[in-house]
Amino acid sequence: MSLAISDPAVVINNEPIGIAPGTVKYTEGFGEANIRAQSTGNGNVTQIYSRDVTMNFSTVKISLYNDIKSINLARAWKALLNENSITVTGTDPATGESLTRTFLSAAVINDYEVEFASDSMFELEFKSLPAV
Amino acid sequence: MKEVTVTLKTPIEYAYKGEMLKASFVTIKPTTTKHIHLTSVLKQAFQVSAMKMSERTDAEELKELKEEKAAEKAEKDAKNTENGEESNDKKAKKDEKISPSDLMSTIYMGGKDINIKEIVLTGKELLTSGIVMVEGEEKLTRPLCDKLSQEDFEEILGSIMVNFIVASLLD
Repeated sequence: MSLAISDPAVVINNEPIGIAPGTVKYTEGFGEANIRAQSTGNGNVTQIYSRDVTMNFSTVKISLYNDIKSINLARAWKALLNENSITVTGTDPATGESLTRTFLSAAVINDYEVEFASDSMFELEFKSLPAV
Repeated sequence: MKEVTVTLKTPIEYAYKGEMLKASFVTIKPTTTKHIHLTSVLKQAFQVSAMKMSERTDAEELKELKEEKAAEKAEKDAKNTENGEESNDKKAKKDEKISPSDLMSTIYMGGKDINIKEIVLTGKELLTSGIVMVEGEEKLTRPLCDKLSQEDFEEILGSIMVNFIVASLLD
């Protein structure tokens, strides 16, 4: 039996970050691909496969609670433009096996909204080079 | 007190301006009173270990030393006229500073008088308190500290102790 990873460790710019549980999402950054049919006559087709490399970027989404430390961190990451790096590490507690993805040249691309409320968090969306 | 540089035997990867770079050295800033709750624990551990070690050495080597001294005295008497070089050698030996690894070994030899787990965790907290800079530019954080080899960790902690925490005792 293996367990699903629900609470990975997130490290941004060498600092471990506290996040709202269950809010980490990422894309590998392989980009979109397209398959088109090429007719070879009499109802037969072959495939034309193409990659849209213009979208070869990873996206990382995390949500933080609206405490002062997190708000200041988000502001600092936004100010660093694309000079952030993110490492996400998930470990299966049963087997000890771990999964690590590193995202380099990451930038906060959304204009996140901080809400001052007792039960609130804000989402950050990073775009980076493809995950390694 | 000046900054100290420690070369890493096993380089570690660290993030810098959105890239992953290899770090081959760390610089250490002097500790201040801000860190006294950590440095005092380490200083005490060293003193206890050193005392314990000297007690052990005293008992074991007392006889040996007596014999050595007697032999030395006889030799000195014989060489009474050409004593310049020898005294210089002894002075140089006395001026030799204890190495970081020797200092850590002294602590490890403290036996059950020392809670080595507490010492190591205190050391880890001190290393990640902002005084150690990776390649002189990025703070050594917990995740980076966890990447250090045990040998490098001990070398850094030993250097901090030799240069800033027990420097006055060693003098």
